[in-house]
Amino acid sequence: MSGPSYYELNKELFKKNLVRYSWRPQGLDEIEAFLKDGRYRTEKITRHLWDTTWYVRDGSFLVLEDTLVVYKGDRKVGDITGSKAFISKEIGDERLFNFIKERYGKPISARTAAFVFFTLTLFAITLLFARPDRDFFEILRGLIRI
Amino acid sequence: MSKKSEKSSTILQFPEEQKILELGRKSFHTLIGSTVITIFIIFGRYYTTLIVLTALLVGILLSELALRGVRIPVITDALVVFDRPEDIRFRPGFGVMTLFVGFTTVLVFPYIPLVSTLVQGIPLDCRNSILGSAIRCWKMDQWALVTIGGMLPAAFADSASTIGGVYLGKHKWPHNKRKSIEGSLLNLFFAIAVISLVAPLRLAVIAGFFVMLVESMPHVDDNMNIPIVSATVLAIGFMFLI
Repeated sequence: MSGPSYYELNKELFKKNLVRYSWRPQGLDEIEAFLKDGRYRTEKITRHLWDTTWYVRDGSFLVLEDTLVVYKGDRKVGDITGSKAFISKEIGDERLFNFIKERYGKPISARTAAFVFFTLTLFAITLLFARPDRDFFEILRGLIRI
Repeated sequence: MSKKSEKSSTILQFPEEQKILELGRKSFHTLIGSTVITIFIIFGRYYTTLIVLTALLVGILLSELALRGVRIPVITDALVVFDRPEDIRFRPGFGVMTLFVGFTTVLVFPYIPLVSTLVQGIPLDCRNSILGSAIRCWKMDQWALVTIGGMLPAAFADSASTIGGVYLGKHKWPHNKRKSIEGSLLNLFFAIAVISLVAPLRLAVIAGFFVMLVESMPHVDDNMNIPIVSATVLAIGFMFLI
């Protein structure tokens, strides 16, 4: 495995307030060129899927993923792949954030929309078709007495 | 292929940090699941559904905030301790959210028009189950034992299989390289044990087998599917086998 371990990197970035962008697939070359102007140091590594999913390290999966690990000084501040970008908020570089945002789009996933839609649908079904089967406050009073 | 790589393709190996993480993560999972089941028994279906749906909505909001770099007191720290790194990366709190999706599905099911008519056909037979006779089917509806029977394996058997799998798992399933046969057997054992609290043993064995099957499948979220599959098998079993 080359570069920092997936586990270490993500825990570290998460603790440092990361911002994640994910929308459409991107080539990493343009992003690497933008970052290589003296402000950041980048290291391009190829992770096997078992490094990135962290789950099984037995060689069962052979999918490779190009990852751009971004450093500012000695600190790791970003982890960018073709489809996802994670940038630590602590670097406070608006140009970088805008650049990433432009290319990766809005950080909203279809999965979030599906979750919200599902929950609101069930809420509607419950409120429209169901009636309370017990007296909530009576139970609460009973529990308090216990 | 060398002997070493041949061996590594059939034997599962889990890093120590993952074992520790899964132990805490799944203990939390079981705590959440048993809390919802307790609320269901005490407060009934309607209020439990509203509570779990509200928690799910709040959870989605918190997850989105966490992804955008907002530090949420307690929640962020809990995510770092309990959540899988890949979930932190793509969807913080994904496990709890999918568990709640599975729970709410079995909770709301009898409220859906037309389905509610079908549910009326399920006999509420509490004499044949340990939990049913212990609480004497207190204010329970027809779907209650089925609902609890759906939630119990998701709360307990799923945790047992994951913890057992990372600590004892050695032999991979041919259809899913991430899951072990040992973990699935533990899942089967715990699923039968907890489902037999609400259903006769023969029905618990059938439901437990289906739970194990679903849990071992690749690319299927077991938190969502276990409650639904278990409840479906139990409903059919209550209607036609008992």
